[in-house]
Amino acid sequence: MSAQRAALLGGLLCTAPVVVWAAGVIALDDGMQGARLADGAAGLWLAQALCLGVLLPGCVTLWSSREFASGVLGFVLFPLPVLVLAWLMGVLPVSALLRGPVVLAGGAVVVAAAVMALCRWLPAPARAAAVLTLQAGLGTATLMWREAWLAWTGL
Amino acid sequence: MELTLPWGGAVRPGQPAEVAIRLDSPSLAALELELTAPGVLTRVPFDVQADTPGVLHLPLVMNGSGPLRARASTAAGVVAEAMLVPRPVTPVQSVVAAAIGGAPPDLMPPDALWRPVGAAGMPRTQHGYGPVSVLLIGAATLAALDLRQASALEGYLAGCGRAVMVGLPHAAVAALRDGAGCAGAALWAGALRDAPALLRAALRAPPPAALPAGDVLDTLHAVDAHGANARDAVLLFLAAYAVLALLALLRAPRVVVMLPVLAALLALLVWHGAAPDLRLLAWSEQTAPGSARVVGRLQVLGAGTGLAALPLPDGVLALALPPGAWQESDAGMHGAGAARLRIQAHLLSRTSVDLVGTLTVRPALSLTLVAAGVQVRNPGPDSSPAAVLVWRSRALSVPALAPGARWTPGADTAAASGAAADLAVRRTRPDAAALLVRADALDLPGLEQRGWLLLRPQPTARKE
Repeated sequence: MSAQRAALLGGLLCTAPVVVWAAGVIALDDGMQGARLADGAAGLWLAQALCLGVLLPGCVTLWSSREFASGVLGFVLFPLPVLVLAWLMGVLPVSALLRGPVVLAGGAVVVAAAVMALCRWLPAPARAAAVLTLQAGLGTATLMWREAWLAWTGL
Repeated sequence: MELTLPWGGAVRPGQPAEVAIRLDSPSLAALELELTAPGVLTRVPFDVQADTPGVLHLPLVMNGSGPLRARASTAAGVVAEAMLVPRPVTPVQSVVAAAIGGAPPDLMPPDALWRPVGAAGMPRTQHGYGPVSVLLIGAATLAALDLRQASALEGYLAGCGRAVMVGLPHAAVAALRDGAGCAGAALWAGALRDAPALLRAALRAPPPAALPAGDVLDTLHAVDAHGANARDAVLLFLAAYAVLALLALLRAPRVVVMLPVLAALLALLVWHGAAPDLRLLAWSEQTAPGSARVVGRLQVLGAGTGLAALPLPDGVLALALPPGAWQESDAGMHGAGAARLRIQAHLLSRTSVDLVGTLTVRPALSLTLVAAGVQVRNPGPDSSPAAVLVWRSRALSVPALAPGARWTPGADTAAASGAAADLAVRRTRPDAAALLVRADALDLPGLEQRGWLLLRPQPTARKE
């Protein structure tokens, strides 16, 4: 699968559940939608970060750097229209529109660099185990320290 | 900078009050004053003269016992700050505002709060009388009032505010009674020695009936299509984006970056800066021939990120402001000034602000009690719109009347229906009559408004 197609698929899988849930919140219109939609934005970024942390290490070596860049950019920008709507609804500060994708893209670059380093310095038999360990560690860290890195997004 | 509230700082939560802000500056300064309290944010630009203290009187609604803070700033930063802790009065507590100068303490009814005040401390806006149950005023104080204070007092009396006048000539009392609301039934007059008895009578008399609350006005509103349309547009946009993303996934994954950016730009183009939809529902009840108390609910339905601006008529005040809303005033140092309400709206946001005040009205119809019952007359030069007569706990349809025409209900008069007619029936005693006419008492430009005015036959004035 190409990086672009993977980005679109990943973006859809992360964003669609949040959008369906947000549509329900909007349709419910109970006066609490602002706080709930802010939680939805946090959930969206958490899902994207987990995708990047768990799935990206296994894919880095499959793509060229150009493909990787467009894939990561497409993936982190995929929910942008939803986030712009959230900003128009007064749910997100304007800074979060910029900081969220930047934090995710920065994280993706760090993960890619780590995978590349592992591949360069480790012998072939140990690479798979190292990448698996990295995936598990990144997934756990993303969940454990979500409040810390979500704060970087401006939420 | 110094803040003061009349009547010894007494305020009634949720009721209007007036704050006086005194400013001294050694040099000429263009300042921006910001007044904050729970549910209050008022901004007033003004110029202070060098070595000349200026006093600003601003109406506001205190929504709790939280402190009132004022901050004066220039372009360089904050130059002065002040704070005042008000003294809230419970709804059952009576406040007697005594403006008779050196009042003997035995005038004081035992269960009322006595708040003596001199002529200089009398309010400059009618909202300053918000905490007052009964005003006791003497001839000397009345004569010493300036134009703004006199106008504020007239507004208080026109709104059926209870007042005891002592030591006034009969002619002056008659003139005040002519302009007072409820045909002067809330105005007592006599000599100073009669003041205790008059005060007791005034305190026993029922206060003006409270106008319907904002949420009651909501029930008069028609089905809201705006909110549903805006919601549907957002949901349609999201659905279209999902479909395009699926198509891109299947057919053209190269648009992975372009697609979200273009969709976000489209959302910005459509919804950013869209002016909110303003709707006003107003219910007013006539208290004097040309005066009515009014309550309104302003609904701000956001169509995007935008700032709603609404000029407020003189005499009208916003109750608790929601977050993101503030009031601007051009009060200057001495004038009443125009006020504007500004509310930050967002896509799909729905904000309500309640307005309250006393306004001048010119009803198209009049209602009089006659031997046969009630009579509706069109005194104006134009045909009147249809109205609703409340008579013997029933709502009856009043047809459009030609100029000068009179109408009395008959046995075959059709019943009127609707939420407004039901509310008018609920607000009219079974033995009383009232006439409900459509009237935009607030008459604000640039918004959809729906208003009703409830007219009552004026009661016979009480004889002294």
